[in-house]
Amino acid sequence: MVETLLIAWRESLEAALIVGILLTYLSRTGQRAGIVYVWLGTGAAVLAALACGFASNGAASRLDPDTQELLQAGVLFLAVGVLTWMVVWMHRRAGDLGGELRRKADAALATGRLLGLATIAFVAVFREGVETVLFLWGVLVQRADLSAASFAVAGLAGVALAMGTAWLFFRGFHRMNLRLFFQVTGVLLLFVAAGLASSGVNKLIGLGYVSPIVPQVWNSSWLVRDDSPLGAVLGALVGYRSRPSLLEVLVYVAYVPPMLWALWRADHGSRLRAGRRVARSAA
Amino acid sequence: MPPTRSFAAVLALGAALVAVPARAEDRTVALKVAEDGFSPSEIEAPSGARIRIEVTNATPVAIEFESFELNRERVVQPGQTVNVYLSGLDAGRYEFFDDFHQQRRGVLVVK
Repeated sequence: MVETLLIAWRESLEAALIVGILLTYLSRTGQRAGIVYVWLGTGAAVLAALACGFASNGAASRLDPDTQELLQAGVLFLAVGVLTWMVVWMHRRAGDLGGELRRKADAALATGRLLGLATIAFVAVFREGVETVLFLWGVLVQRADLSAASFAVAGLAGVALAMGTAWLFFRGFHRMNLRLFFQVTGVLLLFVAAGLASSGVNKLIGLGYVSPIVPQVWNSSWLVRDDSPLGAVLGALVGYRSRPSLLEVLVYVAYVPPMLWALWRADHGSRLRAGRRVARSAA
Repeated sequence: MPPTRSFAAVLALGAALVAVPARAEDRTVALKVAEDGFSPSEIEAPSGARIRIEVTNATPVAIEFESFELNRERVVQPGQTVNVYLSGLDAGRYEFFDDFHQQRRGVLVVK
């Protein structure tokens, strides 16, 4: 039963953390409309995961399983693109968010951006949600007696625990000053995106479409095991794996530095714009 | 060059370098998951080879073929078969398990 709880926790942690970052980000910048869309994406993903979980347990699903996996890799790359766009965009505005301008931010999210937020939440939750539903459904089917109920409760408790973990994690973020908060969450989201990109690549390697180049560059399992709580949190946040292949590492390394630079530019640009505006209004 | 474009260029170049011709493999290993575990529970492959493991789920519920040592995880629906590719492995023992039913364990021995 403890095992059921831990597996459900691990499966839903990534989704909880990503949705948690988005919600914290939006609530600190007063973008209420964005929060609604994140919840809409989350809700839609939960329903879709339930539907997929149940549908696929009946008749085998229509698509060949390897094609499904390929599609999942495609969805991950799409999520990386949307996430990158959102982070850079949010940072362009970061300098505008002080004082008077901050109040105006409430109304300022365009439809495309709202859909972007909903998409990220949807992908994050759906991806892990399907696995959680399949796992819990299996637990229920295998114990077709009264004990099934307690296992289901343990599974749901695991999901709740994942949400609690995310909440605890982001509680501290509310106290940070706004500029530091932006920098930390922006960088964190880029690491999330890098992790998603390398897990997309991991799928392509597993499907035999690309070579890992070197199957295992290092082995840090003596330090942080993949299935330890810390390994799970790091896996969800920065895409940690104890034995990554060279290709996954290369994708990570190709993504993070240019994006950190883009983020720095966006911050810098927004500060300059804000500075110019202050100078103009003073003149 | 803007970072997004240079990133795309790096990706394209990388893809060209690492693309594998039509999922060819040197060794195919069939692996069945039944109620009582993996069968066979020990599989073998030569080192350095491209290996395709055909994982078939013969149980009535979903399983997840997973291995930290091989850096792979794949959900397999009841009655379905998925392909898991591995390549360039050094000699050694690589454990795998069903993440949804962790008493089911097996090992890939690379010689």
